[in-house]
Amino acid sequence: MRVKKIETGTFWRGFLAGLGPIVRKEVRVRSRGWRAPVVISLYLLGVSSAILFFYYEASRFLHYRGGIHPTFGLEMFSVMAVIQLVVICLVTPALASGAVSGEREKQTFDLLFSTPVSGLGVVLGKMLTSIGFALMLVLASLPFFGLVYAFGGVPLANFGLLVLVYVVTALALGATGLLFSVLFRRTQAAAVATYVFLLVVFFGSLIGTVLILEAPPPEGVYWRLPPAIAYLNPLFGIGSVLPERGVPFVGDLLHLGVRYIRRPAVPVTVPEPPGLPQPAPLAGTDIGAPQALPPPPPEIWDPWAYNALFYGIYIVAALVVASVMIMPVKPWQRWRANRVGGKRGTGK
Amino acid sequence: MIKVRGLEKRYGSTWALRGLNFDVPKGSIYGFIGENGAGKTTTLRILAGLLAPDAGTAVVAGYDVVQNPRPVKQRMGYMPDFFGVYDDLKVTEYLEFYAEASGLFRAKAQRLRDEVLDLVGLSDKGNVHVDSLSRGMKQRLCLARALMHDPEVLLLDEPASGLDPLARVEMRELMKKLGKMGKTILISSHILSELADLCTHVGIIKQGVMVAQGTVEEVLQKGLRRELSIRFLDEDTQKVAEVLSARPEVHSVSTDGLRVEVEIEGGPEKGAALLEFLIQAGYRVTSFADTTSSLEDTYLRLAGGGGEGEED
Repeated sequence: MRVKKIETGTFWRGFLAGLGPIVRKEVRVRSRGWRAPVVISLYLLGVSSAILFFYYEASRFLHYRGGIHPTFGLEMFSVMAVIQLVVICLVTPALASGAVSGEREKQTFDLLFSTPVSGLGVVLGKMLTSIGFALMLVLASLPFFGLVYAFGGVPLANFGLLVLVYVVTALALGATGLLFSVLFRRTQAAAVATYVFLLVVFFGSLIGTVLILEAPPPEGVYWRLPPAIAYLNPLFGIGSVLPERGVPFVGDLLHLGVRYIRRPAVPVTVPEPPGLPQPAPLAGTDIGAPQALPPPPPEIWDPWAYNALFYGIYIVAALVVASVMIMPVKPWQRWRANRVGGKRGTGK
Repeated sequence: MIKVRGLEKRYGSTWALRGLNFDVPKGSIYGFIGENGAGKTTTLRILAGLLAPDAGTAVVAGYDVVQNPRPVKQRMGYMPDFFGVYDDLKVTEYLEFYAEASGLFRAKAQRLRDEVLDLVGLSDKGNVHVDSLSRGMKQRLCLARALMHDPEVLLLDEPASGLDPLARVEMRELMKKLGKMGKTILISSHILSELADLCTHVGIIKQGVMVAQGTVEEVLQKGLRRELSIRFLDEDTQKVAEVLSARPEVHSVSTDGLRVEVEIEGGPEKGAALLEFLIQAGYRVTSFADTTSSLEDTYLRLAGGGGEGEED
C-alpha cells in the first residue's frame, strides 16, 4: 500500500485555519443577541455605583482645607483598579472553562476537528475570545478612569502598567480555564476545577509567602529576595503598579504587601561592638549594624515584571498542554501507531 | 481511494474492530452495512481522524489518517450520525466558518456557499439561524458543511437517520447527485433499502469484522441462495423436482402444483444455466422468476447467521 509522505507547511495552515475562523465566529456569536449589552450595562451600573459609594465615603473622610483631598484621585484609581481585577478574575475563568467542553456538549467538537484545524489554533482562538469579553468590560469602564484624571495625581505610566497587569492576568486565567475545559468533558466540572485551582493558587501563594518570609533565614543570609511563590498572586503585581500613597486605603494595603515581600531579611548574626550589649533585633525591621551587613543583592525588577514573567511562562505551558490534549488523536497515539501501524490486526 | 488494513480498536475489554479490511474504489458509493454496535461509527471516526486505532492502518486519498491527518481532512468531508449546531449563527455564516476552518479563504468560502446551498436545496435559507432549522434541513446543512471545501471523499455516518420518509428520499437523491459528481462516498447505514439502489459497492461488517465486500453484485452472489420460481405448462413437477435436486448448485426444491420453488447457490449465471438445462431437457417452462436475493436478504444471511469469514 503506497502512502504519501507528510505534507510540509500543514501546521501553519492548520493554525491559521483554527485561529481566524474561531475568533470571528466567537466574536460574532458573543456580541449577538441581548446578553452582551445587558451584561455590559449591568457591569457599568455596578462600577458606577461602587464609585459613587466610594466618592461619598471618601468625601466624608478626605476633606482637605475645605476641598477634595489631593490624594482622592489616587485612592479612586486604586479602588477602580482592584474592582476591575476582581471582574477579570471572576469573568475570564467562567468563559474560558466552557470554551472547549461546550463544543463537546453541543456535539460540535467532532465537526470542528474533522477539519484540518490545529489544536494550537483552536486553543488560542478560544482563549483570546474568552479573555476578550472580560477585557471588553474593562474597556467599557475606561471612561470612569477618566474621572481619576479630573482629580489628578496618577501618572499615565501607572495606567499603562495597570492595563499590562490586566492583560497578563486575564491571559493566565484564560489559559487555566481553557486547560481545564480541555481536560474535563463537562463545563460544570471544568468551571469548578478552574475556580478551585485558582483559589488554591491565590490563597496558597499568599500563605506560602508569609510562611517563607516568617521562617528564620538560613545562616549567612542577610538579604532575602521575595519568594517566587509570591508572584503567582496578581495582587502583588497590581500592588506594584498603583501609585504609592500615605493614606491607608486600598492602594496602601497592596503596597504594604509589596513592601512586605521585598523587605530585607533580618540579620541573624550581627557583629556586636565589643563591650556593649545589644538588644535583640526585632523582626521585620532594618535594625542592626548596617556596616556589618554585606551589600544588598542587585536591584531587582518590580513585582509586576516578575508577575508578567511567571505568568508568561505559565501561559505558554498551559497552552501547549491544552493544544496537545485537545486533539482527538494525541501525539503519543500517532507515535504508537507508527510503531504498530504496519502490523496487521490479529482480529482477536 | 480508501484502504483499510487490519484495523483494530478496543474500548476497555470490548472489541469494536477486529482486524477490519476493506477497499473503497475511487468514484464509488460504498455502503457500509452493519447492525448497531458492529463498528461502523468507530471505523468512520478513525477514517475522519477523530479516533486512533489500536492497530492497523487506514489510508485516505493516499495519506495515512493517523500519521498524516491534515492532508486527509483537507480531502475528506465527514458527516457524523449525531451532531450539534452553533447557536446564533446564520446558515451562511455557519458554512463560511467551516469552509475557513477547512483552509479556504473567506472570499472563496462566500462564493462557494451559495453553490453548495443550492446543491442541498437550502438556497432560500441562507439568512435563517441554524438552530431554527428542522432536523432534515440540519442534516442537509451538515452535508453542505462537509461539501464546502469540495472534498474528494465523503464519510457519511447514517445520514438519513431520524428523517421522515420524504426527507430520506431527498437525502438519497442528493447522494446520487454527489455520486454523479465523481465523489467517493462511504456511507454507513443499517437501513438497507436506503443503500440497495444507491451503492455501487457494499461492505457488510459484523462485530468488527468485514464479512463480505465488493460490488453489489459480487456481494449478492457471495452471500446468496438465489430463490427461483419456475412454472411449467403441464409437467409432473415431482419428477422435475427430483431431477433438479440431483444438480450440485441446487440447495432445496419444493413443489406447488405446476410451480417449483428452487433455492440455488450462486449468482445469476447459475440461474441462467439452470433455465438452459430445463429447456434443453425438453421441459416446457412458462415462467422463470428470480424471487429473492435482495441486498437485505444477503445482509441478513451474512450478518445474521455466522459470517463467512473475513475478506481481504
